[in-house]
Amino acid sequence: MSFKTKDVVLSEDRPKTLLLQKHSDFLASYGVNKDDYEYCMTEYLRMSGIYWSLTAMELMDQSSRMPKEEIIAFISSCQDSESGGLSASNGHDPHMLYTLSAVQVLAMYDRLDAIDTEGVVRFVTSMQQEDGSFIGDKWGEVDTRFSFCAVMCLSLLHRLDAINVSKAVDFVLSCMNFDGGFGSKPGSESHAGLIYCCVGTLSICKRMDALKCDELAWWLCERQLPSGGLNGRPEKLPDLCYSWWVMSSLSMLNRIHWVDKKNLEQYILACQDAETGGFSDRPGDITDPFHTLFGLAGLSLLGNSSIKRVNPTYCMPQETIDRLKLEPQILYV
Amino acid sequence: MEEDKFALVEKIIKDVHNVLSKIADLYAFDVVPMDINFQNKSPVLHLENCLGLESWCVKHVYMYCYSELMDKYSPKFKRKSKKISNIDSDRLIRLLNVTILLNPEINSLWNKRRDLVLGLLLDKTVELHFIRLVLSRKPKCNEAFVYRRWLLETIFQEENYERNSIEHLINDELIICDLASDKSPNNYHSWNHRIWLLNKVKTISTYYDPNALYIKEYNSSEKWTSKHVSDFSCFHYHQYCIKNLYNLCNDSWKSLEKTLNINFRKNLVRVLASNFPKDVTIQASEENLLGYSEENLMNLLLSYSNKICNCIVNYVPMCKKIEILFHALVLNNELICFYKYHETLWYHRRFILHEIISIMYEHFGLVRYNGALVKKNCKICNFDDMRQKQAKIGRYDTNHIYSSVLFNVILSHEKQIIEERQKDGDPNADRHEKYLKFVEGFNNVM
Repeated sequence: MSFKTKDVVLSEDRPKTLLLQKHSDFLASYGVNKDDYEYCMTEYLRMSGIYWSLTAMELMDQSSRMPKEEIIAFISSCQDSESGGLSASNGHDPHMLYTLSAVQVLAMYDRLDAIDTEGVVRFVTSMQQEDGSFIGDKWGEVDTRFSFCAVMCLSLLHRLDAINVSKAVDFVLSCMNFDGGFGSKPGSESHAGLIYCCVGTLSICKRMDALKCDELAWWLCERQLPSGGLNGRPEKLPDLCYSWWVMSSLSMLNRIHWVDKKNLEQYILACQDAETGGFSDRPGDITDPFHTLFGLAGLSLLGNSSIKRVNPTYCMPQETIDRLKLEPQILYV
Repeated sequence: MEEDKFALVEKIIKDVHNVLSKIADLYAFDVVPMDINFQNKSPVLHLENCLGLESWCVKHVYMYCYSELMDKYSPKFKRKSKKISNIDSDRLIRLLNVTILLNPEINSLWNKRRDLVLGLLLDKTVELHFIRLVLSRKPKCNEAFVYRRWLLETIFQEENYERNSIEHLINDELIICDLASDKSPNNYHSWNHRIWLLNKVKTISTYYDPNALYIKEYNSSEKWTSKHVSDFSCFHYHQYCIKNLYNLCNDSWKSLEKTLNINFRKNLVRVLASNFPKDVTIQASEENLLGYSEENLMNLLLSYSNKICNCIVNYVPMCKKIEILFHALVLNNELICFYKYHETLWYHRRFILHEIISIMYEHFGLVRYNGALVKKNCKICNFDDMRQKQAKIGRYDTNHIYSSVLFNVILSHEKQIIEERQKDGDPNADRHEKYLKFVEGFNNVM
C-alpha cells in the first residue's frame, strides 16, 4: 500500500480482547460523573444519548444497570402534547431524530404505553412532504435521515400505513447516485452514514430490489483501509462508527463477507480504552457512548458470541425485533 | 463571590453584544486559549474585525446563558406568556448570541431565532452575518447551514426583491461556501449548500439567468478540484457542475469556451485520433474531424443504433456532452499522473467513464440493471417493444456497443492509463481495472 493513504497505524500495545466489564462500568457511570458544563453542552442530544447507552447495555446483557423508571419518566416528560413529537430533553423542541430515539428506547423496554403513541404517529405523518420526503421538524429541512427516522419509528409502532410508503421510497431512490450510494438530498454526495439510512428505509419498506447492489456493495467495501478500519467517504480517516454504517448496510445487502472481517475486528478492539472503558472513533481518542454502541454493534455483526445479536436495520437487539414481530428485508443472493 | 461571578458574566454578555452591534464588519469568531485570567481585563477581544473570547471564562458564561435560556425561555414557559416583549427579546437575543457562538449545534436555539425573525425582532441580513461568524469557527456546522437556507427561502419568497440584491445574495453565499470549504476539507455541508443554492437559482430563473452562473461555477470548481485532489466533496460538486453544462445553448457554449480558453472539439479529436482502433481503417484525419458536423462525428463514433422506433436524435447536445466529458477525462489524466495515489481522482474518473458509457447505452436503447443490459423504452416516443422488455439482450446487441469506435477509444485509453499507473505501483490502477470489469461490465472485453 502506498504511503499516501490516509489511515492510522495500530500500535502493538493496543487492546486485543473485548473488555466488556469495562464498557458496562463506563456506560453505567456516564452522566453520573459528568460536570454540569459537559451536561449542558450535550443536553441537546440527550434522548439519543440514552438510546446509545441503553442499546449498548442491552447488547452486553447489562441493561439492569440503567435507571429504567427514571428514563421512562424522562421520556414521557419530553413529549410535546401539541405536535405529538418528542424532544431531546426538557426545554428543547420536538424533532424526528429524538422522537425515533425515544421510541427505540421504549420499544426495548416494552413500555410504549408510556407515551401517547397516536401523538407520535400524528407528528411523523405531519412531517411527510408532497414528494414523499420527510422534514425533521416544522421548520422544513429535508434529509434522508428523516425518512429513515419516519419509517423506523412507525414500523416499531406497527403504523407504517399512516404514511405514503411508496412515495417515501421514491424520494429515497431519487437520492441514489451513479455509484449506488446515497446522500442527504437528491444530488448530494454518497456518504456511508446516509447510505445506512437509505438502505435501512428500503429494508423496512421491503424494497431492497430497487438498489444497485453491486455498485453499492463495491463502494462500501472500498471503505476499508489497511488498518482494518472503515471510513465513510473516499480519502477520509477511519472512524469506528463506520464499522456500523458500512457493515450494517453490507449485512442488509448480504455481502458482509466482502470486507476483511479479521482486520476490522482488530481495528474495533483497538478503539477500546483499557483504562476508562468505552470505545472511541480512532485508537487513543476519548471514548463516548455513541462510539461504544457502534463498536459493540459492529462486533456483534462480525459474529462475536459474547455480545447479543444486533439487528442490522434497526440497530437494536434482534430479540426486541423478534418480540415486535418485525421482519425487515435482507437481500438474498 | 458568586455575586462577583454573575457581575462578570453580565459584563461579558454586554461586551459581546457591543462588539456584535458592528456585525457587518466582523468576519471571524473564536475562543482564544487562555487558562487563567491573570490580567484582570475583559475576556472579550475585538481585534482586526474579529471577535474572540478567552477560554477561561467559556464554561461560566455558557452555563449561565444556557441555564437562563432553558429556565426562562423554554417552550413550557413561553406558553404562559405568549408574546415576547421587546425588552424580553433583547435579553433573549443577547443570550442566544453567546450560547450559539459557543455551541452552534443546538437546533432548538436556532429555532428561537427563527421565531424572532418571523416576529420581526431579528433582521434577516444581520442574521446572515451572524451565521458567517458561527461558520468561521465551526465550518462544518450543519445547523448553521440549515438556518441559512431557511432564511434565504424566506428572503426569496418576498415579492419585492430585485435582481441586484439577488445577485448580491448569491455571491455572498458562494463566498461563505468557499470559506467553509477551504477551512474544512471534505466539507459535506458547504458543498451541499452550494448545490442547494444553484438549484434554488434555477427555480427563480425568471429573475436570473442561471447559465452564466453554471459556467462560472464550472470554471471555479475545475480550478478548486485541481488544487484539492483528495477532497471528494468538491469533486462531487464539480460533477454537478459538469452535468449543468450538458444543456447549454449555443451562445452559452461559446461563452464557456471563451471563459475556459479552450476548444472542446480540438481536445476531443486529439484523444480520438490517438486511440482509434488499429483494425479499423478510419479515413478521417485529426484535421478532417474538426470540420465534421456533430451528426457525422457521432455517426463515426457510434454508427449503428438498434433502436426500433424512428425518432430523430439531436446529435448536437450529444456531441457537446461527449466533448465536455473527454475534456474532464484529459484533465483527470493529468492530475492522476501528477498527484499520485489519490483515490478521489480515480473515483472522479469512474464518474466520467460512467457518463460516457451511459451515452452509449442510451444511444443503443439499453440500460444496465443489476449487472445485466436490458432494453429501455425510447425516451422521446416511449416506444416499448413488449417482447423485448426487460429481457436480457443477446450477444448480437452488445457486439454493436463493443465494436463501436467510441467504445474502443475508451477501452484503449483506459488500458493505457491502467498499465502506466500500475508500473508506478499505484494500487488504485488495479482497483480501476477491476471496477471497469465487474461494476461497469467490461469483463468480456478487457
